[in-house]
Amino acid sequence: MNLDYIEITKFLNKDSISFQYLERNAIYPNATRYYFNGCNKLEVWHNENLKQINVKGSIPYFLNGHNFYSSYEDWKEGFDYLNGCLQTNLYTGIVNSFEFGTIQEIPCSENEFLHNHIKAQGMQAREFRKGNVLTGKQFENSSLRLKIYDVSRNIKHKLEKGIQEDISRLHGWNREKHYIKIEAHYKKPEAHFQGNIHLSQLLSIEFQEGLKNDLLHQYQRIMKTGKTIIPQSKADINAGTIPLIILKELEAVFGFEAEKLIKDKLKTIPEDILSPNDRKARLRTIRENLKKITLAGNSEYDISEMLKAKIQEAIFNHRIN
Amino acid sequence: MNARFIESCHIPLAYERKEGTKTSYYLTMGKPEVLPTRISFGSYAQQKSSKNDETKKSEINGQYRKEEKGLYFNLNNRKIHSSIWGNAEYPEFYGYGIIDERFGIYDLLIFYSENECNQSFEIHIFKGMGKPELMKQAFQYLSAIKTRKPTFA
Repeated sequence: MNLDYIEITKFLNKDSISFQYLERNAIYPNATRYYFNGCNKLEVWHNENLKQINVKGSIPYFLNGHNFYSSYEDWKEGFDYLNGCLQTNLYTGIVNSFEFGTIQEIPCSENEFLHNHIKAQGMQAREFRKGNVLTGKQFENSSLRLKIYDVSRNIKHKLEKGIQEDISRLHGWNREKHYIKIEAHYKKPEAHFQGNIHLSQLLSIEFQEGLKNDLLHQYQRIMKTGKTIIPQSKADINAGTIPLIILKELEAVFGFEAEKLIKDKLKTIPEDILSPNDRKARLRTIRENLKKITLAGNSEYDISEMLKAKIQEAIFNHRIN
Repeated sequence: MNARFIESCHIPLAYERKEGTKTSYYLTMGKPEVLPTRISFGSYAQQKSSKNDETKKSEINGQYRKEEKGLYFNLNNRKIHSSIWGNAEYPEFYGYGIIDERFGIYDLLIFYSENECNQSFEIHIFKGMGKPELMKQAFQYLSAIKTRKPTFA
């Protein structure tokens, strides 16, 4: 579990920074954009009037060329290096936004996993597709964007072969297995955490532990389908049971009662088409079909337990180091 | 630091002594517009007594021509300078220098030569890695490259 993208504002007051390592890219009326080259670029915006710089980008991509994994030590070393090159102290900079997430191996395909994560209360849901394939979902409110996406696809399509080999060798990525990235993008940390966050604070062990637990909490806000137990006998899966399985799965997510909806619908059909006896017969068949469907306590696509185990392990490792 | 990151900070250059001169070396390989095309190699200043924990082996000095461009062009009136110090932990290298602590820049220069820098040498610049905590990683990275066993297809 680690930090990824970050945006920091550093107020310079009377100080200035070194531009020796910066490559000027564009000049705008209020600011100049520079690139700082590493494995991937970071953006450094300089606003002379406001006497501030903004550093934006993914530190793992800048340092390692990928965001599969980056340690606390990587971040520390990366910012020590940046501070040395820019001749400033970014640790006292204010964090405007950042991402914290993890990559988790999952037992089913990424597409299937994403299909079964439906919505999160109080958040706008959005899907990302490549052709017909679902590649990601995002749930967003005013201060937070929670993203889940097919990370294997990104690794295979966006990273060069050498980096893919590094990830396999160093972090155990297996291209035959399935991985999902769960990421919380804090758009307004000052609103989410009720106060400005400085980089030094963000990198503290206590804050990192809090972020891990918050990631789990945010993930658990997502409502999942996949709670039904598929009948084991072929005879129990007729053309009538399949739509009912779907209805039952959506019951909890959308807060309705499938049987009541069906009953209400039947009532709206005029008696000259369906007599009361016909209605009773239809309802009886539907109830028989509903009896074949049983619900498990948790969705089979819910990876909360895996995340909990990962958090425990990460906290333990952090404490013994 | 990851080897891939160090690679992104690494600029290799090769210089060769101009025939008929003792200390004048010209860029023969590597990215232009980094160091001046011509640099002089040889000691001009004595080692300060305060630096007796290290052995000064030589110096490089150079000045960009007015029409030249370079990484350090604006640093010190087009002039570059670095002392070259030995590093006992990495005897495969002639030594190292830093450009230019006086201006808050910490670019590490590692010198490699097959002829004790009498005829030619390579300068491996590692941007921003001249601080003690990063220097060792640059040496390790370059040593791994220089001592890599040849592979046969």
